[in-house]
Amino acid sequence: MRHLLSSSISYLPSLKWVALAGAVMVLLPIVAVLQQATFVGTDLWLHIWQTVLPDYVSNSLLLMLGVGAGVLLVGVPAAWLTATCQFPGRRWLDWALLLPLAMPAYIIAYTYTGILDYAGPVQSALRDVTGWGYGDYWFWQVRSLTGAMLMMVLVLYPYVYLTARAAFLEQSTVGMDVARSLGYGRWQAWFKVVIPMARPAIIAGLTLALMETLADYGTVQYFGVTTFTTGIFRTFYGLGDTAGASQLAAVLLLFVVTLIMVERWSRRRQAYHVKAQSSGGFTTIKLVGWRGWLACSVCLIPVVLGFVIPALQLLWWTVFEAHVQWSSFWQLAWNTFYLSAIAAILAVCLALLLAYAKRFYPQQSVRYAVNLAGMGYALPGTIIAIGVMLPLAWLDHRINDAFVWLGWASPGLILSGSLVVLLLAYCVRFLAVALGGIQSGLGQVSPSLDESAKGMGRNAWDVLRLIHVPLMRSSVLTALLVVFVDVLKELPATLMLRPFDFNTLAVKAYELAADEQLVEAAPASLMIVVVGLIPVLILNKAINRRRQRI
Amino acid sequence: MTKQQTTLLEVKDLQVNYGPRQALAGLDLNLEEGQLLCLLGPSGCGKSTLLRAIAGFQNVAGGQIRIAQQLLSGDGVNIAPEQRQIGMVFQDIALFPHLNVRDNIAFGLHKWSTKEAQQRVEYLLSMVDLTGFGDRYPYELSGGQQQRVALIRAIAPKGKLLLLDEPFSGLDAALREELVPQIATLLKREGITGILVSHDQKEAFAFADQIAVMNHGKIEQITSAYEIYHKPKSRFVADFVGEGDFIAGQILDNQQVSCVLGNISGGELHHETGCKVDVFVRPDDILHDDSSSIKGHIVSKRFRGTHFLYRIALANGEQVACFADSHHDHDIGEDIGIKLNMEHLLTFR
Repeated sequence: MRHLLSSSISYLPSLKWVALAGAVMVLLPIVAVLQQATFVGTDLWLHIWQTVLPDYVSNSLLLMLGVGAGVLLVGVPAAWLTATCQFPGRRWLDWALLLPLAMPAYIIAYTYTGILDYAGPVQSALRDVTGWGYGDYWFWQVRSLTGAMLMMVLVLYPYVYLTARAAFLEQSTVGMDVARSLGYGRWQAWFKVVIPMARPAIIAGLTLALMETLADYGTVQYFGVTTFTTGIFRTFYGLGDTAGASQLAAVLLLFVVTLIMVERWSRRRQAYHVKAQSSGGFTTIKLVGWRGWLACSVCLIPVVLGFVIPALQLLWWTVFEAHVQWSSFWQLAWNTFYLSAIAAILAVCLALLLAYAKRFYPQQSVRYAVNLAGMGYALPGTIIAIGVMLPLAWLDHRINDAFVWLGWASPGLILSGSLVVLLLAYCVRFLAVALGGIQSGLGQVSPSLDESAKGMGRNAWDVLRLIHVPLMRSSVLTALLVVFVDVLKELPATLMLRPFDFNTLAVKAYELAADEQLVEAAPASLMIVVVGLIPVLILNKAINRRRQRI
Repeated sequence: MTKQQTTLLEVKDLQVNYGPRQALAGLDLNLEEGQLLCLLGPSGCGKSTLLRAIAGFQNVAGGQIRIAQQLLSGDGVNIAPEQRQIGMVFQDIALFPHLNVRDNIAFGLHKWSTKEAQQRVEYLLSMVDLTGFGDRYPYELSGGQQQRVALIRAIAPKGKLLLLDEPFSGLDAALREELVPQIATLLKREGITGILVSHDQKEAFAFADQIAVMNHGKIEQITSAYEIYHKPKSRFVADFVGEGDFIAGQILDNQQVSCVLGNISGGELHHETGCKVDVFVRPDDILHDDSSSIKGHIVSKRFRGTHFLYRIALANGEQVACFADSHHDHDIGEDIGIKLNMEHLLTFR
């Protein structure tokens, strides 16, 4: 297969170099940030170091700790219950538990602020019932560190839920049966066998959730919790200190790298775990009576809190309270649509080239390059924003210098001041998403298919056209959609890199919320949530298909 | 061994339902201490369900299960699996991937002292020729090695009974042939009472003292391998165990039956004279003999190395299978002479 296809397309600029270019593209922001960070600290940086940095570190760590514990507590029991038990509502809770994935953390934060604030419906009702006035009672302050933790737990637990559930489905109930036949009770077996066996998968989901936590800007900024992302943003924009911002970004990068290493390590063990497990008798545990209803509520509460309540509130605001100016709203929607679409197409095209490069040139260097290109997802949007801004701004200045030297009019910031910088940032961040989908799709096109087509006298282009295109169509479409939605939801990078006066739905929601116009932010937020449901539905379908195969 | 044989396991009128479907329909089973029993039957006959009910993983709808006179299931009693002291080896081996071999085996020894547990693990490893493998992880072992570890893990806590739920079905044929008698010998030496579930009769013959053929949630016949093969009580058992064909016959008296192969005798017949029966003929009952007056022509043939297996169409169109010496190479369509050499005459109505 390799010889067949690679010999026919060897006249193309070698795919190998495309793979390396992809890796360089992802490395570029990291190198730029690190290079910038090595500049001698200014007074400002010293000031940051002495005053706010301890806050950033402790808040970010506390946030990770709280979110980490929370997503485990919510995600693991829900995953185990839906994977191995029968109880009322299990069939639809199974997929409903994924719904909060459609809800970006910053949007759920705005919504709950609107619900739980002093003027919100909950506290108003409380005052009506009790007759209390302002200051007469204590009420939990949602805009706080604990509030931020809770909001993120509510929307990030699905990562743990997904990976843990896959692991529980794979190990079925045999592990528990073995432990019980060896004299362990149900609960003992759960902690001694069921959880340890799923641990690699759980850790993988946990690190994903923590990466999202580190990358979050909208929630912590709105809640006034100072973390690395808000610090980077402030230093970069408020203080105009690129070196300081880069140094903060470098510290944040350290956190991220640690997480990546933890994730890699856990997956290394997972490889062994999958082995030697054939799917044997699959029995489910029947939970009846109060146990069944308890299981049902354990799974129902995250769905209600993480999706149903905020979605209904957004719907209410949009329909009954917001003053939508449709012309500007559609302008916003159109901006968001074409930006996301272009980014999705670019990322997926690049992912296709990389995936085929890896297939045709299974050499160490190409493999490393493709894997590296898939690391961008771990980088918080703030780091990527600074990292692509710096080199493109430098390039812009060189171009302007060249134009001036040639005696032409200065073209302005054609790269760093336009959508180019934004698109590059999206590609870096979401290439991994596209790559994941494409690679799993390509994995299903067995090399023997290529070979048998060749055996029937078809050339390389026929193989691509007649076999790969139809087989890859759905994974390419899925990848396009998932990247599209991710770009649509992405806030910090868009906020930092958008051209002057260019707004998207996410940015508008952020700006309105920042102006305390939560109700007016609802239509844009609702739109993001509704579009965000599409990949959740696709994911659900893919899981069901896998489940049927088991 | 002159030890008095005592009944260890007693299953009485056991019923298990899956919704409206009856998986076990009033099943009775007794097993003596130290015996190895194989539950043999087609898939869906209820053999795995019986095993899971004995282990305590399956709730019963009626009947009782007793071990050493203690009631485990039935009459409102349902002892939890972990309190039954029954070891079980599962179909997919199910070694804990996060534990090494030693910790896997010691997993059920959590109530033992560390030293005793260690000694037990080392002893068991030596029993299955895996001394020195204690620090390895399951993924570092071959299929047969994993199988042996799963076995000694199940017998480590010295339970009263060992259940094996098709543990060899994932292994290739050659390995299975080697491993099954080894394990049977080990269990015998340790004096372990065991029940193996299998759908493979070769495995059953190589493993068990007693074979119970199951069908539709009941035991059709339980006896030694020899008796099961040569004296099947029912048409189902005859058909399921080994190869053979039914041909039409008529009872002549309490000794003889007539059929297309002539008048056959052999053992007492319990049918009325003149009644129509089916005679069960195994391939080893029919010998190839060119001088025989009974002729048939070859419909198909399979070369099996030590012998040929011919399918032969008889004068009235009925077919039987026949083993022939591996030098007797005949072509399909050729007529050959056959003669009967039947020690156990089997007739079914």
